[in-house]
Amino acid sequence: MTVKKDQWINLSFVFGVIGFIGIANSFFDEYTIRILNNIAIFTILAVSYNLINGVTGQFSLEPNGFVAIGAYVTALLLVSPEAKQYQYAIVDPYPFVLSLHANFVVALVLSGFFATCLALVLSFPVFRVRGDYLAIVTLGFGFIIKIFAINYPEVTNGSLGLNDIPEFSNLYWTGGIAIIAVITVLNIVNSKFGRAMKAVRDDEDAAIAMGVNTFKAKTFAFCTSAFFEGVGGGLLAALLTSISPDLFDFFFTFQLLIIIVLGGLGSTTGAIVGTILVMGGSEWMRFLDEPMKFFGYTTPAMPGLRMVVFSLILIFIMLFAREGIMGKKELKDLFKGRKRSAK
Amino acid sequence: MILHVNNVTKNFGGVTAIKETSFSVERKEIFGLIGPNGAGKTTMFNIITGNYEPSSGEVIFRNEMIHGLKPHLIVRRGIARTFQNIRLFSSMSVLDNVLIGFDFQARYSFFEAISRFPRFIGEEKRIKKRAFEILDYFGMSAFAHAKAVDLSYGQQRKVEIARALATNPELLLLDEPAAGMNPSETEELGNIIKKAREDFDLTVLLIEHDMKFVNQLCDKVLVLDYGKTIFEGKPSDAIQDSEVISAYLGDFHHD
Amino acid sequence: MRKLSVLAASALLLASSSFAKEINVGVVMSMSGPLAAYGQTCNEGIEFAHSLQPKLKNGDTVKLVLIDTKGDKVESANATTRLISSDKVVGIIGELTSTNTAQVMAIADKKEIPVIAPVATNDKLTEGKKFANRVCFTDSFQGAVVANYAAKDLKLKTAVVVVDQAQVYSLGLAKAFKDAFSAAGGKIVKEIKVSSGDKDFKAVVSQIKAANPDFMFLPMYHPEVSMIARQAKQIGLNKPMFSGDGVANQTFIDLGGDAVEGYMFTDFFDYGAPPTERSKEFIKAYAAKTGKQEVNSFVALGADAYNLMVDAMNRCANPEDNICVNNEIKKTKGFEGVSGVISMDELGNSTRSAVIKVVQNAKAVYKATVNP
Repeated sequence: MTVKKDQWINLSFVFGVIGFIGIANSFFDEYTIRILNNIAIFTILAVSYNLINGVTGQFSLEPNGFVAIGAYVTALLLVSPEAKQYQYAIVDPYPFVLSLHANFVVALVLSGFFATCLALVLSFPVFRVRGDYLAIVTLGFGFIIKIFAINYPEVTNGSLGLNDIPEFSNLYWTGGIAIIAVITVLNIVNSKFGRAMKAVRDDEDAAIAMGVNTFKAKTFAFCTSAFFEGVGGGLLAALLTSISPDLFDFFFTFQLLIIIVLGGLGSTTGAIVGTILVMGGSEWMRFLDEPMKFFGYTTPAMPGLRMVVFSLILIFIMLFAREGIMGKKELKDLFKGRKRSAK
Repeated sequence: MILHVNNVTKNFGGVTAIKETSFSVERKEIFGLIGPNGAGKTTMFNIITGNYEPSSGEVIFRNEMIHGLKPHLIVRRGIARTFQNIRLFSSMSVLDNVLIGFDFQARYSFFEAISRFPRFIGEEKRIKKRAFEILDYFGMSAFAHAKAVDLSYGQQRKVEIARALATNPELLLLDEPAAGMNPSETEELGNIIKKAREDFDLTVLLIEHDMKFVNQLCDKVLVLDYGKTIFEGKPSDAIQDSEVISAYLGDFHHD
Repeated sequence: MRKLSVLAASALLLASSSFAKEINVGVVMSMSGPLAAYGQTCNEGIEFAHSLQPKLKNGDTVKLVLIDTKGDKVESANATTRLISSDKVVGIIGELTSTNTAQVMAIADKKEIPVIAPVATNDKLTEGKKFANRVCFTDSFQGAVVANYAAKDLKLKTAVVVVDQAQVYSLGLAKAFKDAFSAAGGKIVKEIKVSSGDKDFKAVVSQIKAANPDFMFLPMYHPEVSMIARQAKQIGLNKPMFSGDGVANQTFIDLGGDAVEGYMFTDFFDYGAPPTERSKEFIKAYAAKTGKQEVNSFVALGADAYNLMVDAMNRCANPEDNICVNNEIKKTKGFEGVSGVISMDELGNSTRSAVIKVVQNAKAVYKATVNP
């Protein structure tokens, strides 16, 4: 039965990743560990962003907003009252802000929870009407969150941002939650909910004609995305140990969009592959910014060349693999034998 | 009678697509809705399925007024449909397409799905079994894992009907099911529909242009022209009616 | 005899060069992205100072390892971690903005690597850190310079302050000015909030005109300030205008045109009034290499960040001892830099002078030096 084989493939990958995390944490150097942490966090963001954009086919620009919410909720709950006292330099913080405190797990859960609540609020006006309002609404939402962060310094310390966030994030947290996120998304996709989401993507009218509650399908996808984006934001705050509003701009969302399109819109495996290529690749390509030796001739340092080459590679890949690297396929499809042909 | 359309009118802006039309469909009848292009047949379908709301009039299904209900709720009350241009889900396999029809009947929650609770496993198993039963009926089990849109046209049509039947309907609406088929495929389709009516206890309402097909299959027909009823009765009588003939001048497929 | 001495000399040379090493100093800077112009200018100073002084007293060579952050926080974090764990730098110069520099310092502090920030002025930057340092002045000093100059030298009594909510620099400098001006007996009659990216300030200048202050303080960056100046002139608002070093560049003067004639601002340094011998030499060498007489403040501060790092390394028996280097940085007193005389304190903040400049005939002209 193919199902059993798929489960074995997935399971062995999960154990492989867990083993890798254990080894990496003990033997790899700080820099590599930092990059792996980034990859883990962005994997969480990418697989959940892929759920609404790729699997459900609803074009959304929400990540920077929900990640910001998650980052700020976690930061406010983790930074100590003393640290808050001397950090809030624009105006004094509200008393409730000073009293906010929780442990890491609670902070992450609340980050996800608040993001999900806001996603629910957005879902009702956007998904009840037909039409492509989601992109505009989420784009505006991201801006509003950033403006809120800047203009309410009594809560967020404005553009100064929050520093001295305890560094709770390590490979066990980021990697572990990444595994949970991937498994959750895959379990959703391989269930009636995932089928409904794909049906909405493929043909919304036909989906309705088959009894699918398309509003519910879209809302589930959007809220799940928001939840993991909030948690990812919390992990990011506890990794960088300092956050500020300028971190959560449109370019942040754009980066994730590149990742999921490159990996294959609709494929969870693709989102993971895309994250590794983009986050790992752009660091690996730093040598392009430095002087390089060619047959005895040394080129001068050209900062920014790295990004030019990166963009060229992206264009190249999209020209030859228009559906992204994985297309809509998942890991198990790579191991399948010859496709059963339809006669 | 299982379906009663009562004095339904549908206006789109200044255009009257359907004018004061009434008809009834009896249980297990195969009822044909025919007429020249633009007569309002698909509009009538969309009113019954809930995609449009009638400007006036009622739609009564199994003694319940269903006009105004959301389409996906009407499906769950027992009305399923296929589309003229076969709208299968292009990224999904044949099996998954049929499973979509079963999904609202699968009794597990979002969290049970995520955590793979026993109820999820049990329900998925149950609906997969039912899906294979329907695919078997149409002889399509071998193609369960093939991508639905890779199949031949005739096979896709069968999958689409299978998908509609997955929703466990009492009334099946078929929109030009024989479109694009050659005579032998059309005959085969007619036999399948007749057989399905018996085996699945169905009532069938279909839109068609092919008069031979209609003659072979339908117990009763309703002929529409510019949104108005011009004939209701047996198909063999319809083709002899003068009004019907003049409405169809040039539009007839008559062998 | 000759042969022997040559042999001996070359042996000694070989011996000394085999002991001479390359020591890495990291540079974390915005070389691409929205702040690329500022970052590249600052790096120009670092690299030029390095070319003038590439070796330590003991013969070791300093190697600069530059990593571009694109102005992004995540990349600043990556860059800092890489410099410390892979390149094993003894110290880091950077970043550019206070928020990104805070990120660099947070990571470097845990690893006990000293950081010298060239131009990040936010007051809170070094607080709570042991290895954070900077060669520029802080916002509170700069705010006090303007406040005292306006109150005491120019005898101005009332002011309107316009703040850019979205910029850390603006918030910090505005607050410092308000505190100092009030302390000097002045009165802030109105505070107006704007956001960077705004283009229409008609409402702002009308409000200022209505409030009728003695002068205006605009602690922001040049794009917004030049526009406010122009729109102020359009409605006939002719009061003295002041800014901080955020407008200390030629672009500001070009954008403002005749609307900024007479505009006053603070800066770190003026090449027309070189404060030290080292300044004079640097400006001369710079002009010889680039053909430009004008040395931008960011260039001078970048150079001083490098010079201070090297000076501290020279004072250590082992220049690779990052703890010693950090201690020596903080012990520095009366250091002769390109941008002026710098003294450091335990907190890593520098005591140094500011200059006041005024725009005359489309050029920034030196007016006065304010010493700490």
